[in-house]
Amino acid sequence: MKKNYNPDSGLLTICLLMTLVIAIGAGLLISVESSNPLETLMFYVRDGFTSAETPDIGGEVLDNGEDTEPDFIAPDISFPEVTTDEVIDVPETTLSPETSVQTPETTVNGTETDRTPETTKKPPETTVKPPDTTKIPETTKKDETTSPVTTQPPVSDEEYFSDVLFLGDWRTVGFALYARIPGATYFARTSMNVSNVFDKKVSETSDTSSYDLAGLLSEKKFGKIYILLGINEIGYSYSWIVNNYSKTIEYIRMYQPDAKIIIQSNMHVTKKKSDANPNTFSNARIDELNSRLSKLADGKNIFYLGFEEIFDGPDGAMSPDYSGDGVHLYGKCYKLWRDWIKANGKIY
Amino acid sequence: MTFYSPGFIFGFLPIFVVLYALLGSKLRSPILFFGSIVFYWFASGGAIMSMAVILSTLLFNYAAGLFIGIAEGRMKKVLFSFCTVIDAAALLSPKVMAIISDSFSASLPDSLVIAAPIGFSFYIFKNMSYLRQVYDGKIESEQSFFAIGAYLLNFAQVLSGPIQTYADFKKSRAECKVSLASINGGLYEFIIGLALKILLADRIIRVWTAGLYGINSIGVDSISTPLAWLGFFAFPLYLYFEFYGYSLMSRGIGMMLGYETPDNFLYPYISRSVSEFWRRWHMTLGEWFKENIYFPLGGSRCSVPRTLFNLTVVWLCTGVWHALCFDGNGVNFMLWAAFLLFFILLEKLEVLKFITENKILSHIYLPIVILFSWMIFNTNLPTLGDLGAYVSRLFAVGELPEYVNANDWIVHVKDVGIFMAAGVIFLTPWPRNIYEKLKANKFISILLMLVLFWISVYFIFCEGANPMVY
Repeated sequence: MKKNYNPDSGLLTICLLMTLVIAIGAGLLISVESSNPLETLMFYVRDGFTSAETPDIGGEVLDNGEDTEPDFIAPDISFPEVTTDEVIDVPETTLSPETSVQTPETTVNGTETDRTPETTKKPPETTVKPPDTTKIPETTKKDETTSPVTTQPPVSDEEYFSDVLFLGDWRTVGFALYARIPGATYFARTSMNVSNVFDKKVSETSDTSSYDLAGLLSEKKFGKIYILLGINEIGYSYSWIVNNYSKTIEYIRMYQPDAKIIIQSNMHVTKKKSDANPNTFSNARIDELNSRLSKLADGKNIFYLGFEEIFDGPDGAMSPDYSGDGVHLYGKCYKLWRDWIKANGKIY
Repeated sequence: MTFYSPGFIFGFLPIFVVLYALLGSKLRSPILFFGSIVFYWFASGGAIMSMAVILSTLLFNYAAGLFIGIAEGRMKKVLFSFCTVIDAAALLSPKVMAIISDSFSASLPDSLVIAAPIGFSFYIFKNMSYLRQVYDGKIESEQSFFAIGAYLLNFAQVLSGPIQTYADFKKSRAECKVSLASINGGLYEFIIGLALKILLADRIIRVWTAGLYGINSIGVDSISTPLAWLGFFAFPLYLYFEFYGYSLMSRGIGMMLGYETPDNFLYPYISRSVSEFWRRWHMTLGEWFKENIYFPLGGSRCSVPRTLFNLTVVWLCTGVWHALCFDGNGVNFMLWAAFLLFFILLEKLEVLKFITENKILSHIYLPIVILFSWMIFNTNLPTLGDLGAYVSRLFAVGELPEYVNANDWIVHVKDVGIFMAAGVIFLTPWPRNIYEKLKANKFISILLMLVLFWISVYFIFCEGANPMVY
């Protein structure tokens, strides 16, 4: 194998240079949008091997937190006339005065964080609390203020989850795969965010893999819809996220006027991940977003469940024991989430 | 900067090769030295401490070589031992400092805990081999600072070897010359290496590292048994093509710069014993241990117990050396070395002769032992706890725990199945043999290279352009 120089004395070098020149030249000539791998490659070469491709989420997250935000994808409205009475007006109208004050920055090391607004104009708070809550950290007690208010007796899990839809991004895919609540329906997709929930793509979960969301919502009636969104778009402005979140809820309610909408808090990321991404995946941003999302709740049709702490370590960030990449959970950890929902997250 | 970054492939390498070829042979050592410093600067992400450590050890060993070269008798031996101990201490100190710092909850000031510079274990081994060769009289100590700097810091070898000896490097540089033909010949090797790394290694390792559904993301205790077995085969395939690909690229660069690089891999998986495997796997490291530890201890030319002892020392050092190359606590690497040593000792004692000399049994025995050794080695399972959890998933029987998704492996078969199948074929010499025949036809071989090159570039682009989404 030694010293076997190819006898073409430079042909390969010349061919490589030629293809390089062709790639750059063609990249300069052809249209702006790349539509196939070859064109993508040419653009890549032309642009000096910088990946200018925008992330799949539909807009560009800039380092400084300013963004070119994607447009909201509205569903084709193809369902019988519905009145959209309540909801939507964010944030002031549904809030009690004190909640319009921005909650302070969260502090680490387990200090109390006052991020849950007091939606005090509520019927008496008779939260149903099953006795077995041993696994749940005590922090959850605080969050019950926006948690379900119930006037009905508890029903069995089977019965309760039979008309539940879990909606969300990869985390909800994982929830479907590893929490496996009997009877529940899931609609979840990697890279789902508040602006693309209603695009034409189908769910990645096996039970709904033949539907896009509009299709599923027109087909099946749900009593409770649990939403977990926000981590993919965490680099965008809060107002953009909250606006689109509320639009998403609005559209869901156009399909399902009787369904209760439950906003689930975004869980934290690990400290390492948070520190590495101060303008995107930072726990400070996640806390602020959760706080703003919680204000979408009206206590009648829209509820907020704050349980991000259940995965936290002592430093107030997600424990590294729960996640390999710092953001999404190990398979074995989804049961914490499921058990919390079963114990504290039922809405009647 | 690595060999696989566009900045290297389209920027540093062509510019450097052109400069190197155009300037006269007298300037080649300085330009290789300074070029390597530039490369190292980018490769280490501009770490000033790393640069300082690398350059000071270089100066030290340059001077050490000179002194050992002129010293005589007892003085020579003392000098050599002293300098070798200093090198070994330099190699061990970052890890030792880190361990001390960890165990005593950061009682050391930060300035004392320096991360090992990138490629440090390879670099120090080259330094030590240089001193040994001077001491043994195999070469004269190098008078030119640039010449020794170009050898030790050579950007083609500084990140992950091969550990070429100075005698070999110097001789081959004197014999070969830089020409368009040599550059062209180097390009072939470079492209083949690039393709093995990008199109096989990087694809196959996704079983472990893919975001969201790789084993590391799911968590090793929540994987299904089929996925565990997929990972069992994927990691050794990845490791081979990662390192073999790198070695071929290094060899290709060497050709472009007008010297021959020693082979680092010779189809190790066709071996029939563990000892043979390790003569064909990372060959320059094996040579290093032979020349610098095994032979000085007496090798196998002494009593049987002494030979076994010598082998044990070599494998202890092999374990330590690999632990230094990677993060983690190092316990798994020592276990890995002990596991291999066990079989090597058995082979040495000829207990396993009936297997290693049997045509069929030996080809069953070798892959089993080697695959399990890589399972212990697997850098995705950094602790004994992880390893234990993985083994329990690998051999899980009975009812599926609720936190395991029984179908988690299907996506991986679709994703990397074809690459793993190709990888198994590329473990054998067949593809290379076919390629050597194809080479006679310029048109086909050039077309093949162009296709491999641009597909690899496209895959490099894809990796860079896809940020993590959840």
